[in-house]
This record gives sequence, C-alpha cells and structure tokens, in this order.
Amino acid sequence: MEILRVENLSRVFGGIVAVADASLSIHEGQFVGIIGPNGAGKTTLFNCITGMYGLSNGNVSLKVDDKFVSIGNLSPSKIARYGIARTFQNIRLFQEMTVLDNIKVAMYHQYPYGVLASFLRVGIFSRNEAMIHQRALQWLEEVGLVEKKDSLASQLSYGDQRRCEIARALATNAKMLFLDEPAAGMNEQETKNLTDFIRYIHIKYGLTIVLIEHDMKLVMSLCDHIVVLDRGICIAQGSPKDIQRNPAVIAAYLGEEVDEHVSH
Amino acid sequence: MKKLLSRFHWPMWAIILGVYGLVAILIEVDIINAYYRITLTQIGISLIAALGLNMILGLSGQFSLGHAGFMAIGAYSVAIVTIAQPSVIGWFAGMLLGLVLTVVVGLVIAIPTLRLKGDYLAIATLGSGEIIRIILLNMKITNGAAGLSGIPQFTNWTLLYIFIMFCILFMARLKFSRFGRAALSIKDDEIAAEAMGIQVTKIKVMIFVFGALFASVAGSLYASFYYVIKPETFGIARSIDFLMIVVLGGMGSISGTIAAAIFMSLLTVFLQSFAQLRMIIYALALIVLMIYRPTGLLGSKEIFVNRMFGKKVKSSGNSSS
Repeated sequence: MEILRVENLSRVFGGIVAVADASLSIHEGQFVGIIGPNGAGKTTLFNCITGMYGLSNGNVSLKVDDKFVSIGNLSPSKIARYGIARTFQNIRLFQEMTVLDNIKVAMYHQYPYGVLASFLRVGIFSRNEAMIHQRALQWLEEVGLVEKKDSLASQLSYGDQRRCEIARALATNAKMLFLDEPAAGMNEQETKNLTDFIRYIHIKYGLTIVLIEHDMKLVMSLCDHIVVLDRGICIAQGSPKDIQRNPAVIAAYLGEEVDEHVSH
Repeated sequence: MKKLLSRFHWPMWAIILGVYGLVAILIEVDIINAYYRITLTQIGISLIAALGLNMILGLSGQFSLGHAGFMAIGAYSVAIVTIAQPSVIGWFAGMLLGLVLTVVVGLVIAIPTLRLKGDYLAIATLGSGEIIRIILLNMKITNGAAGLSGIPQFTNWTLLYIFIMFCILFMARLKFSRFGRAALSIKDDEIAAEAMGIQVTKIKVMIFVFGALFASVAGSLYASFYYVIKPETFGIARSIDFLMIVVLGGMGSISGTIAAAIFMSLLTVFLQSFAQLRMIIYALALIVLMIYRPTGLLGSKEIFVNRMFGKKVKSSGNSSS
C-alpha cells in the first residue's frame, strides 16, 4: 500500500538544478535505497521530503490516517509529527545533552503536559515524565546504549552516536525512517553490525525505511526497491536485480567506475 | 503518608527557611542596617532579572541585550499604580499590569527578532530595549527624563524572598520538564530539534516571554524600593550587568546565577569607593574567567541540596537550590 508519493519534485539553487522532476512512490513496509554518484541530489531530495528545504516545484504527499496529505513545504517539525523521522549525514545529536535526554527530546509530543502542570508537579506531570523515562530507557535498551544513558552524546564513539541518532529518530514514534548515509565512515565490521541492526528494526517495528548509501553491499542486501539519481534526474527505479542490470545505471554509476569507487 | 514524607526534602526546606529567618533576624536587630539592606535588595533584584536572562540565554540559547527594557515596564507599572493607589493591593495590581504589558511587548519583540541568529539577534534585542527606554523618556505619564519619584516603598525582605524563591522554583521546574529539554535541544542544534518535531519558534518565544516576565517582576520590586525611577536606570548598562551575572555563573545554571548575583553585588559594594576601578575589575574578572573557564563558574551544572545530604533523587522531579 502506498504511503508516500513524490510527484515531479524539483529543487533549484540559484541556477543549479539539484533535483529535477523526481517522481517516486513508496509503499508501506518497503525498504528503499537511494543511490547515485556524489552530487546527484540524494540529500537534497531527502531534505525536500523532510521539509528542510522548500520545493521549487512538484509535490510530496504522505498517507496520514488513510488519507493523503500534501506535506510539500510544511515545516520539518510538522512533518516529523506526521511520522517521518530522519538521521543526518553528519550526525546531529544534541552534543551537550545526555544520551537519555536526547531520546526524551524526541518524545516531546507523545506524552504532553502544560507549563502549569510542570510547575505544580501535578499527577499528569509525574505520570507522563515516568512514561517518557521508561520509554526512553526501552529505546536505549533496543540499541544497546542503556549503560551509557548518562554520558553526554559527544562522549559516545562514532558507531554509538549513529545508533543513538537512530534511536532518537525511532523515539519520535515514526512510521517512516529516512537514513542519510548511516554507514559513512564505518569499517567493515561496524557496517555489518549496523546492517543487521537496521534490518532488525525494519522487521520489528514494521517501518518504512528510505536510505541513502554509497556502500553497495549494504544497499543490495537491505533494500527491496532502489532509486538511482544522477545529476538531479531519477534515471532508474526497481528491484536490486533490475538495477544491477540496467544499462543506464551501469553507464552512470556502476560499471568500471564503481569498481574503482568500491576499492577506495 | 510515608511516601509523602519521603518526598518532602527536609534539607532543602531547612535551607530555604533558615536563610529567610536568619536574614529577617539580622534585619530586626539592625546588624543588616539600612545601608546593607540596599545591597540585599540589589542582590535579590539582580538575581531575579538574571535568572530570567539565564532562561533565555542558558536554556534556549537565544541572546538578549534588551533585558533591562522589560524591567522598566515592570518598574513603571508599579510606580504609576502605587503613586495613585498606595497600598499593597495597589502594588500587586501594578505588578500584574506590568506582567500583562511585558507579555504583549515580549511577544511583539520576540516573534520577529527570534528568527535572527547570533550577532543580529543581539543587535535587534539591544534595539528593542532602547526603544522601550526612549518611549518611556517621551511619554507624559512616565514624566520623561525626570522620571517618577515618591514611589511608596513596599519591597521588603519577605516580599523579595518570596519572589526569589518563586522564580528559582519556576525556572528549576521548567528546566527539568519537557519544555526545558526542548529548549536545551534548540540551543544545541536547532535543525535537529526541528527534525524531531519540536516547534522551535514557539519554544523560543515562550522561553523569551518567561524570561522577560522575570525581569518585569524585578523591575516592580525595584521601583517599590528606591522611591525614584528614571528611564536612564534601565539602559544598556543594566542589561549588560545581568549578562555578566549569567556568563559568570554559567549559562543554564540556576545555582551558578545565584552565586554570581551575590558575588557581583558584593563586589559592587566593596568597590563602591573606587567607582572607576570597578569597571576595570569587572572587565578583568570577565577576561580571566573567559580564558580559564569559558563555560562560567558552574557551566550548565546544578548543585542539588538533596544530593549533598546523600538523599537519592530522580533526575527529574526535583528542584535545585
């Protein structure tokens, strides 16, 4: 069942067309990989869908309560509240806050109470704070960071920061997860652990995941649908097998060049 | 019943009531004489205003150089109302009027300016503080540059202490709530906070208005202690005084602001006779601090009375002192 629809999305910066006329359709529970050479517009497409950038043209709609709602040009926080969470290419944790508080921030809207309730410390405050605390610990348990809950996010190792960022995105109660190069800067073993972890949360929470990644092994093993961008244009879509055989993709990206790319 | 008792933090209450009682007795026996009472009031008023600024600066990470402007609103409201109606009820009515005006002015300033960042925000808030001062300077009801005099005195130790405690409690409870966390996340990384569903502008504006309300209360207490207020009293220099307290104590730290407010006010008193030297020592202290401890005395940490006495407390649901 379709959950997200991108229609003719374009984004222009000055005279540069970062994304041109991209259309894609994502189904519930799908694992979509977005690949393409550097500068192909992958992150720009992510930023447009998650509201970080406005759209120059086109539309994005998301299924909310069985109805499609246009989310193009909405604010990122509104889109996040509709159930789209993301991680960033360069990790953006709240560095000066503890790991636990990082997760708790993401639950701002799930267990609400007013300023007055927080000042008077009435029942609803205690109940909801207790729920937030408990749920945050559960998320940390899930990603294996529960022992590090009181350290500052900046003190975590690189791999742990990635996990923490994913946990934070999950804690927003998202139904769609957008991961921007989650394996960037990781060695083979770390990448393998991360791959297993992402596969695990995908199945366990029935999430729809969209992923940008340069690591072809990771993409091919995780994704069931792949979108190839090149110079802002969506040049191919399909199953991993189709993509590997697609001549346009081979010309643009795989073939000789990719061997060189992977070996680096 | 047992549960209720265990939630009652004896050491904290002992300190809160002990400080109040001790100072009240010292005033009664005139060890804290009229001269020291001025210092005491100065500490209290600076503390309340600085806590407000610390909320804006330390929690949501927004810069404000117009804090004294909100103090002026509170001060003039109380002055005008109590001159016409010299009673405690009049004082409270004036204070409430000040709070209402502060909310209105605060929103008008916050909504457009909080879209700015860094230096631009500093300039914009500096400008708004000056606009408030210039308006007061040119209005009939505020008596222009001469200011208002003969304001009845209602600010005493009890009233001051109640407001100090209220403000500390308010900020502490806000800090350790979902609003505090949201504000700190905005300070840390606005883009990530927005991506987590936090309505960044809404939280920023909310914290800004709360901070302004603290300043307004400080102004109300000020007017009712010093008999005379002038627009000049609430200029940029005063905003910078508050800023120094916040920076010295540590951004986001309530305990730090308390310590710094006391320290700065005492320093001012001891250096009273060398008025010129005072500014040099201020400046030197700030430079030394920024070199050796750029996060302020306490950074963003808090000192918890309950923890000092070995009582186990949860990370949320306690207040600091």
